[in-house]
Amino acid sequence: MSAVKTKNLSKAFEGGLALSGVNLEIASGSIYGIIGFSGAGKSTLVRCLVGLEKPSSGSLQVEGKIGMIFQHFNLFSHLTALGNVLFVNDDIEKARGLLKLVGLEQKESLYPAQLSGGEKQRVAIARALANDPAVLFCDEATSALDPETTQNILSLLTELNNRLKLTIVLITHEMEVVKSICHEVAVLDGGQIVEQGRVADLFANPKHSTTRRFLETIHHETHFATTGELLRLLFRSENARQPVISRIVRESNADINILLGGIDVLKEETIGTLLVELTGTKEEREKAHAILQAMGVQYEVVS
Amino acid sequence: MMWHLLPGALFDTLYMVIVSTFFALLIGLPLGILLTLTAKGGLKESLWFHHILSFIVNVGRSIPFAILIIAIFPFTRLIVGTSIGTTASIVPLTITAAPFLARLIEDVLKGVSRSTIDAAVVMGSSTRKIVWRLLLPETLPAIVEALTLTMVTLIGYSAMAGLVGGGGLGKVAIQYGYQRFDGGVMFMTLLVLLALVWIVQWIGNAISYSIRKKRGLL
Repeated sequence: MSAVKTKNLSKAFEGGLALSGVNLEIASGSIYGIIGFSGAGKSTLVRCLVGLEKPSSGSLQVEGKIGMIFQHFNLFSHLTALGNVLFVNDDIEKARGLLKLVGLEQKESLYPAQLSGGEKQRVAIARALANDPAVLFCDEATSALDPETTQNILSLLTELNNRLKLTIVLITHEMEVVKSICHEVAVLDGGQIVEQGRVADLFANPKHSTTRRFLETIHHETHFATTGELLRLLFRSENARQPVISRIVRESNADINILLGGIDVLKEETIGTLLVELTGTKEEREKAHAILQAMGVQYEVVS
Repeated sequence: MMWHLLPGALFDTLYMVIVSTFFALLIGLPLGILLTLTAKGGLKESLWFHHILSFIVNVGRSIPFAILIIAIFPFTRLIVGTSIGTTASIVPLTITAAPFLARLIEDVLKGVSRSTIDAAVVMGSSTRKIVWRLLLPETLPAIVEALTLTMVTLIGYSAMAGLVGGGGLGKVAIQYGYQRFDGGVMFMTLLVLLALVWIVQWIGNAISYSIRKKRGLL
């Protein structure tokens, strides 16, 4: 069942189209990332999804109630942590339970100004959960936080997803965030979804240039001046245990120079990447390609 | 010297200022809220309504007080039965203070960011709830400051009420200090007015300070 479904969703503003023909289907109980650079239309999309903005055309369905957290928390400064949760639902037992769930039971009587950034976002999460939403929208919810706090908030979100079967839609410009907790992701560019699918598939096999640019933000493998052939080898669970490099060297006589290696620990899969430079005669290099193919290693020729 | 007149005059001034501030709040607060809600990007955006209301408020604010007192004599008589005296001057004081306060309140409410309001909207809060449980309490310290400013302004205006038979410190200053050339009374009245302004300002600041302090905003 899908928690959020849009069909040909478009939004026009004076001076242009902010969203055009967005088709989204977010499975109930999943953590779904929507990633885009500034100006890609992320904000407009989420504002449409939560009902703050009316789409110009297309259809939109969201299952159940909605909760939302924001980049700048948007807590009510005149209310304590507990008061902020009670604003939504005046059941005090429930409010206390939610503060406990986010680990803030000791701080219920403090005001937002007396809390750290991470604590503020926790209160905002408790507040967002107070009316039992089916979907939690997170609009750049970790962008104002330091890396450690970001990880803490992301683990909390994962835990909520597991424990409450809460569907989470994460809007972000950080690939790191998508990488660590999302099951699926949609890449937004120029108001359109240019690529979407399982996070592992996008990491292993990015098709659109925007997706590649996002991957570059975490892989840093852009500029290598090489003489040979530059290959990116991909190691997914099925071929991670094979001695690929040594077989190539031994059997093809080509030389392999390892330039860069990395492991992406995704939510559902771990993907290893190796950037190598292949040198040798044409025959030797062709032999190397044949070995890679025979071993079933996914790879791409970068240059 | 007419020292014995001062306590009674002080009482009259306080009576005029407090009662007219109260009525000004009663009129100005809803006006300020309406101005905020109907403005561009507001929760109940309605530009024509906003412009009309804004125009009325501007007219109210631009009439000089001394002229207003006289201009609304018939209206004052209709409401309090007479157009002169202490109670009668509450009407023009209220009418001059209400639009002033409405603008101050509008400015104050505009200070709540749209994204904070969005947070409440997304969670399904009604406009009524957003006004009473978010906008007003969120801006309480600034509203207290706006009320303080209104009161201080009204203390000054209330002295003018003395010109048209209103009581209070203004009357003492005019009748005894000015018309009888009693410099001592004039000086004392001034001192009392100054002290009054100072005390009102101090109390207002103290209240708004303590609220901000409690909320950890200082």
